[in-house]
Amino acid sequence: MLCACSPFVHRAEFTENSDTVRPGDLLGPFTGRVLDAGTGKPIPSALVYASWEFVRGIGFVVPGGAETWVGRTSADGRYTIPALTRLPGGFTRAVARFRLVIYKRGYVAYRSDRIFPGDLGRHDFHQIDNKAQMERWSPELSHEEHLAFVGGSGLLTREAAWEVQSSLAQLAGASGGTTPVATASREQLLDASSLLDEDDLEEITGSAGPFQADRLPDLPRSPRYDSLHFRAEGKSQRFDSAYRVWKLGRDAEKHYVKLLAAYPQTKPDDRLGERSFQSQSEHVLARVWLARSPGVVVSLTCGRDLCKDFEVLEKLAQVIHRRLEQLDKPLPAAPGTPLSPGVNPFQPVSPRDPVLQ
Amino acid sequence: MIAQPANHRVFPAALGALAAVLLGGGPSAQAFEPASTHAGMTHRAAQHLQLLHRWLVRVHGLPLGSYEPLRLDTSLVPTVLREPLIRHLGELDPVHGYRPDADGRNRAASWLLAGAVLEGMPFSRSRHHFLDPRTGRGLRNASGKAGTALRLRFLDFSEGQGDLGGIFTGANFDLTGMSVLRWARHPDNAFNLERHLAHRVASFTAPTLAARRHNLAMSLISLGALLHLVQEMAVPAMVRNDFVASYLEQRSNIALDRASAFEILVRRRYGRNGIPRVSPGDALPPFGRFDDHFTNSARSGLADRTQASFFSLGSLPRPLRLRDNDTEQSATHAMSRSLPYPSPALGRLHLMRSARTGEAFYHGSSTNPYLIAYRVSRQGIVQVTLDDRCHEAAAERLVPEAVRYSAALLGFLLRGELITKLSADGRNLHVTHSGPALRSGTLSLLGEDSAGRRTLLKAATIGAPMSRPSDLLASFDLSNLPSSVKTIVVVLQGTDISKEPLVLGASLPRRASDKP
Repeated sequence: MLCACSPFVHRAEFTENSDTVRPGDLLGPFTGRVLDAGTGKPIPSALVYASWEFVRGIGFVVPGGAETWVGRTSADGRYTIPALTRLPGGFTRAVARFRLVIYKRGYVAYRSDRIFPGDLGRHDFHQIDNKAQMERWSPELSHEEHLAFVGGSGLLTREAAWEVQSSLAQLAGASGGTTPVATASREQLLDASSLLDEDDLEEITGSAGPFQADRLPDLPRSPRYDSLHFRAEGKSQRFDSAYRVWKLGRDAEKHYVKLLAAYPQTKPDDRLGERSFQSQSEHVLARVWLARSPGVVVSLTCGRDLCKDFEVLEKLAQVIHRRLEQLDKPLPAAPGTPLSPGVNPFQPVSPRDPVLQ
Repeated sequence: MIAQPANHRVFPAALGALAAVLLGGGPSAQAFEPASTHAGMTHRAAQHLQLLHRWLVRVHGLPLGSYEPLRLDTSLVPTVLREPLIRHLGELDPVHGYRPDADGRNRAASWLLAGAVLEGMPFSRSRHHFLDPRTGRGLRNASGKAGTALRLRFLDFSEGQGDLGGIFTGANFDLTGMSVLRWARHPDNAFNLERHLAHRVASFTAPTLAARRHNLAMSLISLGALLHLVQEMAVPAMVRNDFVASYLEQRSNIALDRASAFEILVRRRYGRNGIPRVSPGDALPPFGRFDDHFTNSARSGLADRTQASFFSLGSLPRPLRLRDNDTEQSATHAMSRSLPYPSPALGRLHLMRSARTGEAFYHGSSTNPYLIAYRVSRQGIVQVTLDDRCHEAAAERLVPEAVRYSAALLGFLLRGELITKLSADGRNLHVTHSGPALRSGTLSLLGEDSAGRRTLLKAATIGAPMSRPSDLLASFDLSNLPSSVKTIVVVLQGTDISKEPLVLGASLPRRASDKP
């Protein structure tokens, strides 16, 4: 029982390629292409930093070493990372995770596990033929948060070192007493609570309820964000529904694209608003759409025991969409940050669902 | 405390979880993962009001603050600590951004985060992270599982900890540990409070710039390690003497794959950068003693609050076989008697309904409806567990608390500031301070030459009466200082009014007119 003399390899949290749900091989190899999210053109000479994290321990699991591989994308934006061959030794060691960081000055860094900003979990990374879309850096983003997001050491740290001065300038500005959070608290908060109610839910889904409505706790309400969670009393989360609304003006489309990358099993159809997609996991259905005229992105999720199919979900989405004009008040003047730090927008509905994590 | 017990029907997934527990392959353990969660919590604590950055800029005069590169000189590390420190630093995954480069260089904030991770390495250090705030004791082998203890001793040895003799004598991990408060000060702890303060002093007084930078890096590592300790108090198992049930659940058919579902949930949900910030407007716990952050007489320490409000898997009510004449009240009463801690208390459970329908329910309060999950089996046995929803509810409440208490402890450990002022003629240096009133201490005056070498010039003792903030601590005559002194440095080592140790430092350039 104690002679587990070679390390074991954890199940990968990414798929082998975009056409399968089969988990990838944590050991690799990995291939992919790095593209400009705006133009679709390949990004050459981007720094590609790959790391395999080992863990060890029983009960208390702690770092047990790492192997890294560093390279750059080719002229057509491609990268190939060879498979890990040097495995860790030790009774309790395991290859736990693989992470890929791609860095290019002028762009938001790409990580295989998280998305910046907002620290959403990423679900569109694949072992083979991965498509890494990098967005251009935008001045309202925080260099302090971005440096923490990038992490890394050695060449990666040196490559991102130019951001330190910008971060220091932002820190110096914040120490003057105006932080985005403090500013936001003085602005009028977005109120999206009247876009859907319990009666709509019961009428359209046929559920008898009762529902308890409250805001989702993971992201704070702000002048640009609000949410509502209908919790089915005494029932599982698969009977719950929730929606989130971001009122971002010109930034709305960018956010929509981020959600498109973050949600699992997405299927764009552009049938609702200007752009829209469906998404699903084992227990949850989701509908996300962009309404350009008020500059709003809406994410509606519904447990499969409440919304039997996408048709039911679509009816709920239509109700919300029709009422979006209620939000059409002037956008708050202070920009703040468009996304609050938070978690996967799916999570409060079904955070334990492995497909969504 | 549970004021209004609530009952909610449990979804089918929880039934599986209940069954898994009963079959011995339970779903959970409760701990935070060092590499992502502890590092993330420490990052957020340091970010709060830019606590660390401002301290590094103001007190140490480092213009880059948190980003200042500091080199750890391993030749200055005591021999007994050198090898494990180098090994463990080398085991950190560089992708997280806190592993030093090959030359031992890291950013200041990264040393703090590295310390928060190193406190959990090797994993057996965590045996000393437990605290029962009611008794003040650490981990005890209450389960009496000698076989498990022996296996852990063997594995501890196999991972390079302890010695072969320890396998048989129990010197290695034998399912016991000292309390976290004792560990924080224990000589065996390389990152204890005393060493942290000693490195703080040396970060001002060491003769060379390289040695001062090294000591600052070491003090940041131990600071991160101390923050890790208070964060552990937000883990119910750590404050409820629960190692075996909460940490040794098997995750797969591989014997040694034992880890925490709760840990994985927290890591996936928050990652390293998704840990919630403390809102700038939030008041932090205002404690004047190190220990108070963990436990105190007002029961407002983090360990007090966690123990009183959350269950761990190993401190749930024991299964109860219902008898024919049992009522819900009598059965709940009987289950309550099996609880090892008085709170959280059990309210009335829907046992009869569960027995009738086989349904499982949640039980909790209006603030946390998902404290526990329970059901009555067909055999009439009441079974209680913690499922994913219980863990999620706990994480939502405990992770922000861990960050808040870490920020409070960081603020406490970095409290106070020395204020230096030259007299009008530049011949005297007046030293006052801000922060807590002082009880006693020594004030040292050092001179730094143009090559950065510091030497002790004078010292003054501070005694009764106690010095309040803004009281003059000492006045140094600068007229006889050597001409080579370019910078004047003042360091205070003392205790505050609560008898807590304190290290403060300040430096100022010597004016040309001050020189003889």
